[in-house]
Amino acid sequence: MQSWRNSTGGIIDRSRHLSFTFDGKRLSGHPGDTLASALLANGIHLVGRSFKYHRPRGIVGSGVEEPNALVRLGKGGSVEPNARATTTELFDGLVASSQNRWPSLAFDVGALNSVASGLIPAGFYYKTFMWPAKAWTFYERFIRRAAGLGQAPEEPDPDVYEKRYAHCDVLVVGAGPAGLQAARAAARSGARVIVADEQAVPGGSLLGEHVTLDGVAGQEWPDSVRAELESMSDVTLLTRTTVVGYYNHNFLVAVERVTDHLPAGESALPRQRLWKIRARHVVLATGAIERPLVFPGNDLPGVMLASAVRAFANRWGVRCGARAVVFTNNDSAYRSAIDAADCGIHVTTIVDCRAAPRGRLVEEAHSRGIDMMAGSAIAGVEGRKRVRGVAISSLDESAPAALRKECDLVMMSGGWNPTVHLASQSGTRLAWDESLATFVPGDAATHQTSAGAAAGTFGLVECLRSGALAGTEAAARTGFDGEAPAVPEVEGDTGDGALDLEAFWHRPASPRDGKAFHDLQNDVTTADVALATRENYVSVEHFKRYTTTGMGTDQGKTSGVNGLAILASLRGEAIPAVGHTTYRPFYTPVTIGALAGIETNGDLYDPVRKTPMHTWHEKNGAHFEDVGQWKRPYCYPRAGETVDEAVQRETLAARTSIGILDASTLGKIDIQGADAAEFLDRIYTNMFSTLKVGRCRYGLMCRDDGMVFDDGVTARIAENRFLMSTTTGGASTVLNWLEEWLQTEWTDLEVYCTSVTTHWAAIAVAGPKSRALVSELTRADLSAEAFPFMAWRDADIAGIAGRIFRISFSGETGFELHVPASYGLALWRNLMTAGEKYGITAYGTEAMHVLRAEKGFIIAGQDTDGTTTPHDLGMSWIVSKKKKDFLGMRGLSRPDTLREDRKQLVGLLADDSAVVIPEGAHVSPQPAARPPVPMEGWVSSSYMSPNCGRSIALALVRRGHDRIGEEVAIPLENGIVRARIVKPVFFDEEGARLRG
Amino acid sequence: MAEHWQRQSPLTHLGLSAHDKNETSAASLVMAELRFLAKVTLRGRIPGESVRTALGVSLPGEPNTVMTGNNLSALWLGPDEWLIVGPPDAERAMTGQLAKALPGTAVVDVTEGRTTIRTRGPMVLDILAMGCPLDLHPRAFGPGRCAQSTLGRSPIILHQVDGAPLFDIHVERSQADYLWTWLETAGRPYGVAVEAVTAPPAWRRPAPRRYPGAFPPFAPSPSRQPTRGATVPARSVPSS
Repeated sequence: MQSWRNSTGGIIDRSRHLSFTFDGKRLSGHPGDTLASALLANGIHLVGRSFKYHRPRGIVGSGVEEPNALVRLGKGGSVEPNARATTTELFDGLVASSQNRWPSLAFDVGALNSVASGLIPAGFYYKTFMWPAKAWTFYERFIRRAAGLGQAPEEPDPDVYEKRYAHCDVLVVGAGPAGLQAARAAARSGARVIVADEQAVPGGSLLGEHVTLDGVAGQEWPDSVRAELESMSDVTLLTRTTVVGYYNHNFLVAVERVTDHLPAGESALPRQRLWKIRARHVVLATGAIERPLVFPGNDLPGVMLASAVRAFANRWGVRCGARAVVFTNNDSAYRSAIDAADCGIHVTTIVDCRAAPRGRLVEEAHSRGIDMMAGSAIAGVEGRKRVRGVAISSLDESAPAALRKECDLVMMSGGWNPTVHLASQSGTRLAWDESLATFVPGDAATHQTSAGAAAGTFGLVECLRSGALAGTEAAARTGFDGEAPAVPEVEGDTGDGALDLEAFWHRPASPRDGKAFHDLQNDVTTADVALATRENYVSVEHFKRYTTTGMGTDQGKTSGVNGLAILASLRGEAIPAVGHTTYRPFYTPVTIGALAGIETNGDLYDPVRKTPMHTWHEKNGAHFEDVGQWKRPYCYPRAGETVDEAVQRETLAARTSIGILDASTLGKIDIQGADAAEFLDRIYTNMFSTLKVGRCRYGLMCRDDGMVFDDGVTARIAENRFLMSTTTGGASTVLNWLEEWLQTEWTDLEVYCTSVTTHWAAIAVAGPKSRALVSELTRADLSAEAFPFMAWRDADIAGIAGRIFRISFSGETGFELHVPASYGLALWRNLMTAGEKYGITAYGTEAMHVLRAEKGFIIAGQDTDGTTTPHDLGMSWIVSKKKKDFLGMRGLSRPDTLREDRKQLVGLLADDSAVVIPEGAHVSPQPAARPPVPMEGWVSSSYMSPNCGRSIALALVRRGHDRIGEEVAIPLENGIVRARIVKPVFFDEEGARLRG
Repeated sequence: MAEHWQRQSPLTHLGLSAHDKNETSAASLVMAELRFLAKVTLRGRIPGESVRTALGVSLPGEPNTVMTGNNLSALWLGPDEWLIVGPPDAERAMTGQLAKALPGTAVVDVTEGRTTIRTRGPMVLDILAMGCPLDLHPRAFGPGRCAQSTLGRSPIILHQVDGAPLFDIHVERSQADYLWTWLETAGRPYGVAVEAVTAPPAWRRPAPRRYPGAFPPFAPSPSRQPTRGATVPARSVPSS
């Protein structure tokens, strides 16, 4: 039974019932309810336990500001912790439970913390658990369990999320009276407009008002504006959408809760959608949040914001209590008191800090028989899990002792704080407004206007006017002129006029009166502020972190200004002098899934790049390795074969019959232009201008510091055209490098670089039978005389127009075949079929690595580490002495690069030929010295070589070139491996196979 | 010998088959692969008229715009860079013509480096907005506009073909699989269909100039591959 629900009033659909559970108890509400309004309609105030002291807590607000009523929603992987009951739309089947209590909400063991609160003041964790140092890991387990709020779900998130970009001339944040007027103004001018509002329907504060606008009920007027906006093609109205972040250059991020308000499985749409909006001008119509008052016992369930009680009454037809006492320092609480009384709550007393409140509202309250106690304050609240009464005392010290009033509801109002979070995030400085006793946006830091309550204008008529002006101005700033829409004729109590506020921050009280909280979510009391001040944490940023004021999921929406004010009064300074902490994104918590979007789908996490032959590799059992974004076959294990065995088989086959490798991933850059040859002479350490058309040359490129950067074979295609190849991983870096020099330093050169990496499929065919096989597929003469090592030619290969390169990274007689990519698979299959009689074997990257290591060919990035010069690699032959200049030439003449004790590339042979030394192992002198063992170098490549019949390794060793033949030690975890330094070539040193 | 059917686009292996008309008209996003479109990159300082004479399409001078003509589209990619897109198998004739007409200009056949995903449908703008940071609103983009951008995590060249709107997405070959999956996933909650697209007519060189001495007469090179069919079916060829 919803015994606290009125039979009329509000904008809920009483004809339909929604069933939901809270802590397992079955309850009912209506469409239009939030979880909070439905709980209150059922008389439930106690909804959670507090963060630190586990004190009983109830619903305080009616919207996004709620610090207490954080619940856990859903089940399994869809669980959402810390959801605000006040912003959770009710749906049939909603499952909610309270948090931070054990074993139950009514009886919570953790509440013992409250008894022991003297031991856990602000910053206690900085002071206790410090000794012995090692014990922290022990304490931490218990502290982690005792602290905190909700628990994160442990299963994978089953929901789907979406992200999108959006662009507009004017973004209006908030669709309350000011926002709707602004949107209307901007939209009518023809600007592209996006309006975002966090609630299910537009209207904001109007949804809780009893007024008429141009004769239309205030709760219905937003619908007419909505209809107008939705009829315009370039206007997007987003409801259930919270703008959470405001970044540079008017880039804002919003989260749209697309299906959170629907029962699971009812919609195929994503759960949430993240909007990344670029707006030319932003209107911030974000409203204001009522400020609580700080007094002892102000955290007991039943102590609520006055405006929240009013909203629950007017919008949801819910009475938050039977007997209410109002506590205020300004006029707006009188409106709440009057509406609460009209709703059927017996409002007995208004306790007003002001000495002599007067005016129309005061008289109206008086006429309803509400007692007035001016110049007074609530000194304490009675009750254990719900308010049972309050103690009221005069602020005049000489007055008699406290007076007790029975009540089950306290409505408090300490004034209003404009919602300046987004303005502050954007860099707009906040200014102190003395009459409102709060911060308002100062001069906008970017193309931005604050309007309505967000700008400190609280009356309805003023909000409507300010919104219309802001929207018109915003549109005009983006080039769309229009007239401001007329302000609707408003009838009823509009709340215009001064709040007549008298600041009341706190009253010094003795501990016996109970705790007075300024931050409910983080359990921070005035005593904690006092402690921080005593311990000199008086800078506002230190104060925040020491006391945890304003942290947590609500980010201080209700606590911020009160905390600062109390700090200022204890420091004896003005609030503006104390300043405020920085507002940062996000305004409200954002689910990680929304930030990930569809990329939570594993296939979309990062692009997987595939070669034209990928499907063949998959079908033939390739074991893939990631090389950048590429998937490359590592090896092709056969049934019953281990990865190591497959690599050995493939390596052997390439030297005994034919090996075939998919080399399509190697970078290929087409370089053309009148100065192409000169350009390459500057890029590579060796000479390319002397290369003949039809021939290839291996080149090494250095950065300007002389360190090896990339390598590869470059072919001269025509007088002014070259085809450069790069390493797979280096392809885009090299192209950027070339473009950087062309565009910033050598602008006089006429050279154009175009990536053709994926235009060509490339297949390396290597081994003693390779010439026989390739000759079967082409009419070209491939004899060593007609087509020598390092030549290339155009050719038809299996009927496909392509190129054949006589190059080899394996050290075998080899050919690299290039055909247009879409024919790559066809050619590969042709080769496999034709090569069957020769025992053709597909080999992967690991066999390729072993083959090249047998020959001592380096891999840039494996045998070099950015501190390796060509000389260090024993490749002085590739550094031209004839050229006037090339990249790295000066770097190579620096004293450091000329040092004789640099690490140099050598071969290593373990004494035990069966031992493969781990790559990365350190090389130390032999015999092994006592610690500290000098580090003489490290192993860069190491394999078992089937062709050498033993293990081989490459290493960079200090002064290595002079140490050939020397014995060294490789200290490993489980012993020392002894090895001998040798020349870095283990197979066919003369290169007869390569050239044969 | 390699047979024509062995030519494989990067999406061939997905075995895509076209949906029927009812499905494509109900879908929010309709996708097709335009396979083997000829693509040639032009780099250099190029005299305005020379390309029109050689190919029958002018080069756009305005950044991020496209000129069309003689079944070709010329996309502005940079101050000295254009991409010319034509019907399948035109690349050899196009590069031949350009090389003759524009000595000293870098002409590179990049046909095989990308494939093209054609997208349309009532939600195509929304779905592209899920991964492309550009403003594609008609006031900011529109038919005849092109841009180099990203979609999801793939670099793309985007070309708005008409106001329907219809977009051609030229995507790097090795990432085509990823991007197709990305589009399918992004569009899934709203309905995605695959359609077959009729290939544009084969490309012919422009009519020779009437006055003598303009350019040498055009002689088509011998066809590299067997003649292709008239349509590009969106369904796959069975792979062996």
